[in-house]
Amino acid sequence: MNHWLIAITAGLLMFGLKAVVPVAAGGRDLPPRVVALTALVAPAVIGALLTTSLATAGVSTDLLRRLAVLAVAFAVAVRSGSFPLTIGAGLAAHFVLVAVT
Amino acid sequence: MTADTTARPVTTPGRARLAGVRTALPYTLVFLPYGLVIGATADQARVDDFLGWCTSWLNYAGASQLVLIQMLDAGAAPLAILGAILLINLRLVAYATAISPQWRTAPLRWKVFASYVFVDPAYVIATERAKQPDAPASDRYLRSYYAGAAATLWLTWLVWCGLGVTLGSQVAHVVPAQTLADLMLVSMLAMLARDAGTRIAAGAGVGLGIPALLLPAGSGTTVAAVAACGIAAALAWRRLP
Repeated sequence: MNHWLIAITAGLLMFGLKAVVPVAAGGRDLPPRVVALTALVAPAVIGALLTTSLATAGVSTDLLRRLAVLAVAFAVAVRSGSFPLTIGAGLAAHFVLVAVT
Repeated sequence: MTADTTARPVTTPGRARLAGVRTALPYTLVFLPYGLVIGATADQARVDDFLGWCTSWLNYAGASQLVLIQMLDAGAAPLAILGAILLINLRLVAYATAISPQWRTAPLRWKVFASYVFVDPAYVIATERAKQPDAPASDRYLRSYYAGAAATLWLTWLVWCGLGVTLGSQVAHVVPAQTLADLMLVSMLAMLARDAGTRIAAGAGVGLGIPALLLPAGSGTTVAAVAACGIAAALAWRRLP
């Protein structure tokens, strides 16, 4: 399938998800259980993406460094809830580890 | 009694939009390296450079744009790609439900625009403002504020991605692309996994991602995510109102 077609279809899908409640549903609320279940999907997908991305590195110092950086970033994210702080801490850990390894 | 000719409205839609723009500006700087990385990823991938940039407005939502480009580069099956995009963006339905009361009385064309530019940081900015004690309790104000912030984020995102595509491999010399991609994912994971149900979903996704590597290219992630959602939903269903 052509890349453009996939990208356009994905774009329409994304717009549909964003607009279904405000536009198509006339602003009516979805059932609370449905809304609560949609909140489960993103963490599941992102967790799976993270693991599959790390797994492509194989067992190596690169993997260990990435895991160490992510551990630091995750701890900062959980404690601070701040996106900029998390990124800053992760990048700092990355550059320190690159310098010492 | 004379009329108070000096009285002015507390805010106007124009001022509300400007306030939204000002709030969004620091966020645009935080997202600059991400835009560069995603643009550079598109340049390095087996994807046409122009299409790579176009995904910034065709598929406007950072994480899923990156996933789309990576899966196109990996040659993943179209259905696997669309499935992953659908799953990763389902959270936007929950966010849209939360914010839609503010948009109920807006014209349809405004809702279409607002939905198109709706992404995580725009949602955060809009909802944080609504919670502040000095925020005017007017849906029109909040919509104008949201419009200013969301439009700023959208426009700068297109510019950052364009820069990334243009600079290409040079970005990798300055910006650690893989590290940034990892950090984006883990930041979102930490911020989304706030209660028992979402933590179970995140943990299941992480755990199931490993055996899912045995599946054909691109489909493993989707299968792992669906399975993780199923586990979390089954455990959380009874506790939901």
